[in-house]
Parts: sequence; structure tokens; C-alpha cells
Amino acid sequence: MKLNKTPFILSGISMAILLASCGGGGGGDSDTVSTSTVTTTATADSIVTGTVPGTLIEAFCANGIYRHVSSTNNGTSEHPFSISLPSGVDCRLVMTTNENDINNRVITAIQINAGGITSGLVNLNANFNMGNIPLELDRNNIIDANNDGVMDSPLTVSLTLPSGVVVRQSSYDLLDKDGDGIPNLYEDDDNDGRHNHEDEDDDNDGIPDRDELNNYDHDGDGIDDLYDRDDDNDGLEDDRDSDDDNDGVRDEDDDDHHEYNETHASTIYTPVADYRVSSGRLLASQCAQCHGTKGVSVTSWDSLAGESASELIEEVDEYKNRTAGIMSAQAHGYSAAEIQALSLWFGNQSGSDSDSESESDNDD
Amino acid sequence: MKTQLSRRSLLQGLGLGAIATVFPGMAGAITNSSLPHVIVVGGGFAGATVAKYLKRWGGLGVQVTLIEPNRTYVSPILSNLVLNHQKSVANLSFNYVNHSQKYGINIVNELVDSIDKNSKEVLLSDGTAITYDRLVLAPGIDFDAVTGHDFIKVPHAWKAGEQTELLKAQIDAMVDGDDFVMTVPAAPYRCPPGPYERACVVADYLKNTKGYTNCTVTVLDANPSITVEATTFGNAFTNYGVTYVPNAVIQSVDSGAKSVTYRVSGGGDQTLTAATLNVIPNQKAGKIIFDAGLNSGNWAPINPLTYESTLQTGIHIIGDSQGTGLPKAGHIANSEAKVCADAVLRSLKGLAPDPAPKTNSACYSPISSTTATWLTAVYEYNASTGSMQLVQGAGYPAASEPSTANYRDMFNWSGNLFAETFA
Repeated sequence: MKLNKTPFILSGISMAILLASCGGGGGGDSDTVSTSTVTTTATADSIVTGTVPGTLIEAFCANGIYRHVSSTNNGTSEHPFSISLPSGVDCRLVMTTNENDINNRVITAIQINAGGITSGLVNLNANFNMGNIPLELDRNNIIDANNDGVMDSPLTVSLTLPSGVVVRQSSYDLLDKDGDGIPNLYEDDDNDGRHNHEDEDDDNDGIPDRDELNNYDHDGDGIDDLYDRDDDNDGLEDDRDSDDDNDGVRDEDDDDHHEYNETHASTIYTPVADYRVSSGRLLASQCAQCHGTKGVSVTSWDSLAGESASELIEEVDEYKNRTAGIMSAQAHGYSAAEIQALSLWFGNQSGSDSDSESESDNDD
Repeated sequence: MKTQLSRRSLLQGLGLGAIATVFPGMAGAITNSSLPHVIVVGGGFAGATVAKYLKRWGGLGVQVTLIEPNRTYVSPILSNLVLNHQKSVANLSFNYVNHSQKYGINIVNELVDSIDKNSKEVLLSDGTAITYDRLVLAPGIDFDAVTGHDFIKVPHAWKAGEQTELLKAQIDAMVDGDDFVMTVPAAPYRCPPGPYERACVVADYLKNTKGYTNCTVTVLDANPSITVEATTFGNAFTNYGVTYVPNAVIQSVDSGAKSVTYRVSGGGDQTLTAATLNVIPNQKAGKIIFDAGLNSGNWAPINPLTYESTLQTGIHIIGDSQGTGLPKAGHIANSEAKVCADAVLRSLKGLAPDPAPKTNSACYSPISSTTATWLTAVYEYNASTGSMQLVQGAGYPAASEPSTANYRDMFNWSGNLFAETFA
């Protein structure tokens, strides 16, 4: 064990540079609320840049995506890197210096300190320059109780974040289940001096990880294969990977292959910091059981989305005057004021999927 | 936090907790700015909906973890149509990929072992402990089985999936002249029209699909009369020749012999033996509610403005386990979940709950392989009683005659309800 040096923390480095922001995307009305609002950028990526000593940069993301790049040797001590991360998804960064020298490499989990929050979880909806990250190069200078090359605590980098980039302090993160800032893959569960990432048998029970019964997380990143966009962390997303679990059996011949998560999906975020009181929204949500989320029907029943408030009020009133039919029965359950409130809410919605607010239905 | 060796515990053992050492004055600030964490236990219509809406409405400002032991959920809604070969279990199966990928919800496929209300922790069966700021419990129902009831030999098929397949296999094996006997649990139970619907679907299948003229269908009802849509189901029973026995209280089951012993209105024991015996036990809140001391009698008392337990702040209970007079069924569980999600998000912001929430129920019930009926109601909050009640003067609950148009609409309804819950 080497306990001769304290982990060093960067502070006062505020080199964040606001690069072109992805910003708007569709929808748009969810970003009227406050500066902390992050709008959806659907399937787009955001780019993290910076400079490091010669380094392997890896990213582990909450949707299971794994990315890695190596920095570019430009002849100076500060090698530039650029890594593309999925937008709107929490990701963790790990950086390895001397990556090709197993006995001397130093593996550093990265945390960011910004605005009073310190966390390794960064969520990007804009490109982001981290500036120079002075990673440790000398194995003798790190605290590494089990001598697997992984620094036992993360390196904290203090930064000012550009709009669209947030650091999220979370009390439970699937990528870091014990919450110590070191991703699961760089833990050493059996304390055998090999971190899980390179340990074929994380729990040292003699059964290789891939042969464990009920192994639903083949890459060990903490994200169940069902929900993991990259089951084997080979950097190739499953919908472009012909062997998702990297067991040598092609997906079409593989019994444990599943197609569920082979589609891209957008993310919808409206921060709770801006949660608004709106009786119209809660009432309108009670139409969704039959008419679909946000009034977008997926069956031959009517969508309510796209209709104006006055059209909706007129239609419900018509049902109120009838006696037969399930919608007529429902219409009798709501007062004129309630029908107006929920109709106004539907009428104010944009085409985006998010349940965003507009000023007019804000009653508090 | 977990059984595995953690780097942090190593460091703490050495007195070198990273953050506290480096930023001694900042520990409080970090805690205060951490994201509120809402844990949802149970991924049925109630739990899946509340998780989705917490993120739809709470977005990046709230962290949501859905804990559900099963990787696949099979909808009990429409599952009687598996018995008559109109649907398969696969047709009714859903997973949480959208919750994970579209809404950024942590999905944990583990069983909850216990809840520590004081430290606000949920302990999983794998040893993990997860802390919460708010906890939403949606465990559905548990059964009060009578003596001798083996669920494998005498399936209840009141949770869908394997149980549905077991009952289907028994019905498939029936030949002309065999008897089908089922029981209706004492109210309240999950899906009020469900048992009567099942009797109709099975009677229709045996008579009209299989062409059996000598089979009998008997319904032993613990209740004094058909609990919902009494005219519709009563007429259908007459048409199918179903024998309906009210006030039939089940005493015991001989699962090997497929026989059930019951008493009518306190009379003597009577026993029926059947080729297919379907005993649906009496019901109560999910086990976790009892384990956590959140029950009063068989169900969990809650405030219907928030679905927060009246016995424990910070814990909300929605769906079949909650103990209001609201019916226990998937559609209204979805409805309750949105009132709860709104209230939880408001409470995290220090805001009062909506003072006048509304919920609604609707259920389409197949009566045959081509016809269905519906039942619907809207509920309002009564501030003087502190409970939800049918909207006054609106003539609820409303119901319809069986028709083929209703049969088609049943799939329009369920398709949107399924997507609203799982997509």
C-alpha cells in the first residue's frame, strides 16, 4: 500500500469554454423556464474536449453506452482529446495515463466540482471544454490500496460549466453502486489486485463472469443487458453490433439475444427545480388512459393533441348532452371549469413529446 | 452500502474520506444540492406510470429508481383472452426499456427485502441498500389462500403470466362433459368485473368454440350478489347456462383432487369437484406493506390528495394496495399514479398538493370471443370526509350492454392504456 501522498485536487481552474451549443432542438417551450433547463437533443451527441498527458479517455453512460478515445500526441505535455457523449444522458469519465504499461498506468476517475456540486456524473446538452486536466503519471504518487492502478478516490476538477452542461449529485447511480465516485468497472470486488474491468472473475468464485448463472450484465457496467445500449462495452452500440454480448455467437443465432433495446429513443427533461403548479396538466393527464400520453393516441381512438382548446371544449360539451357511450359517461364527471382547464392545457402544447408548460396555464 | 468491498470503505477505514478531507466545509453544501431521489417499488400499472410521470414532469431535477423483481411484466388486463386463445401471454408482455432509455429511470430488477423507515433505505435481496427522499410503493396484491390451496395445481390466474398459462392448459385439456368451477373472492379484490368476465369467456369458449354441450360452468361467489354490472353478467350467465351461487364462502381446497369445499350463508359444508378448478383467493395489500407496518387491516391507509401513507410520512402507496374506496384495477392505478407523481414533485418543492384531484376508472370486459361490455366512473375528492367518492349526480358507475363495437373498442382502450403505462 502506498499512503505517502494525498490525492490532489484541482481548484481554481475555470477554463470552460462555451462552444456551439446544441441548445434548442424541437419543442422549445421547455427552455422558457430557467437557465437550468435542459432541452432534448434527441439522438445527437455532445463533445467533450480538453488536454491531458498521453491518455486513454473512457466514458460510461447511464444508458449503457461506452465510448473511448486516446489523446493526440502533439509534441507538448498537453495532448488534446475529443470524446463524443450521448446528449442528455448521465455519463462518467475515467482517464488512464501510461495506458499501455500495465505496471505503471494510472487510472483516474474524474469528478467535476461546479456550482457547489461535486459529482462524477455529467450530463451534456452542449459541447464542453474541460481545459487541461493534470492527471497523475507516476504510480508512486497515488493512493491505491490494492495496487491495481486505480486511484482509490476520484480526481476532482473545479470548473465553470457552460449552459447546457450539468453535474448531477445522485444518491444512487447504477454505474457506481457504492457511490464512491469510482465506476463499478474500476472497483476490485474480490480485492485480487485486478479491477473488475479486466478481471475475468470479479467475485473470485472460480466461475468466469460470463458463465455466472443469471448474468444479466455482461459488461459489468451496472446496466442490465435489457436496458444497455452496448451490452459488451465494445464501443459499438447494439443496433450496429452483430454480436451484442461478444460471446462469438452472432445475435441471430444467440439464445440470449434480445432486440428490445436496439432502437434509439429521445430523452425528455424538464427539471423539477422548475416544477410548476398546474391543475390543467394533472387533469389533462387523466385523459391519457384512453387517449394516450399527452393526448397522442396509438390506437384508432381520437388523439386530443393538435386540437385547440375551443374545439376540445365543444366536443366534451357535446358528449355531455348525450346519454350513451363511454365518453359521454366520462364527460359527466368533469365540471365546466375543469374541462376548460384541461382543454387549455392540451391546446397550449407544442408538437414535442415533453409535458412542458406555457405561461397561460400557470395558476400559481 | 453493499456487501462488496468498496474503495470508499477502505478509505474511510484509513481516515481518508476523499471529499470530507479535501473540502471540509463543503460536505453540507454537496448534500443539499444533491438530486432528490424517488424510489418506486413495483412495476405494474401503478408503479410503471408513477415512475414515468415523475420523470416526464420532474425531468433532470429528480432521480427515479424503479425496483421490480421481474424483467417482464404480463398485463392481467385482457389476460382472460389468453384462456380462449384470442391473445397470447407474449401479446400482453411489457418491459421497462422505455423507462430506462427514454426517461432515464434507473431500473433495478431485484426483490425488496425490507424498508428501513428511519434511515429511509430500501434493502434489496442482494444486500444493496438504497436511500430515498420519497418512496412510492406499488406492490399490487397478495393472497389469503385457504387451507390446501396449491397455486400450481389449482391456479388462481389473478396475476398474469405463468398462472394464466397453467389455467389455460387445464381448460385446453377439458373434454365434453367436464366441469369448470371457479370462485369469486370477497370484495374488495383486484378488477371487480374480472371473475364474472372470466366465467363468461370460459363458458363461451367451451360452448361455442369447442362445441361442448355437456360441460358445466359454476361460479361460487363469496359476495351476496354480482358486485358490478349485475344485469349484464346475470343475463350472460343465463344465456350460457352458468350456475351462479352467491354467499359461497370457501372453506378449503383439495388441490390434488381439484375439489373445493364451501358454505352458503353459514350452512353446512358442500364440496364440488371439477376438471378445471380456478380458486381466486381473498386478497390484501402486497407483503411489503405489512412488513413495513403500513397497513390498517388488509390495506394501506393513505391521503387521497397525495397517496402518502397516513402512518408514515415520505412513503406513498398507489394501486391495488392502497386502502381508499377506489376500485383496484390497472386503469385507475394509472390514474392514481399521476396524482401521486404530481403530489410527490410538489412536496419536493415545498408546495401543497392539488386540493381537488380527479381520478377515473374504466374497464372493458369481454363477454365472448366477439362481444364486450364496459364499466366506467369518475371520482372526486370530498374534503369533509377526506376520501374519494363517485362524482355526485353523474350516475356512476355507468355500464353498457355487450356488443361487437365494444369488443373492438376494448383494444383501442387497452392499446392506449398499455402505451400510457409502458411507452
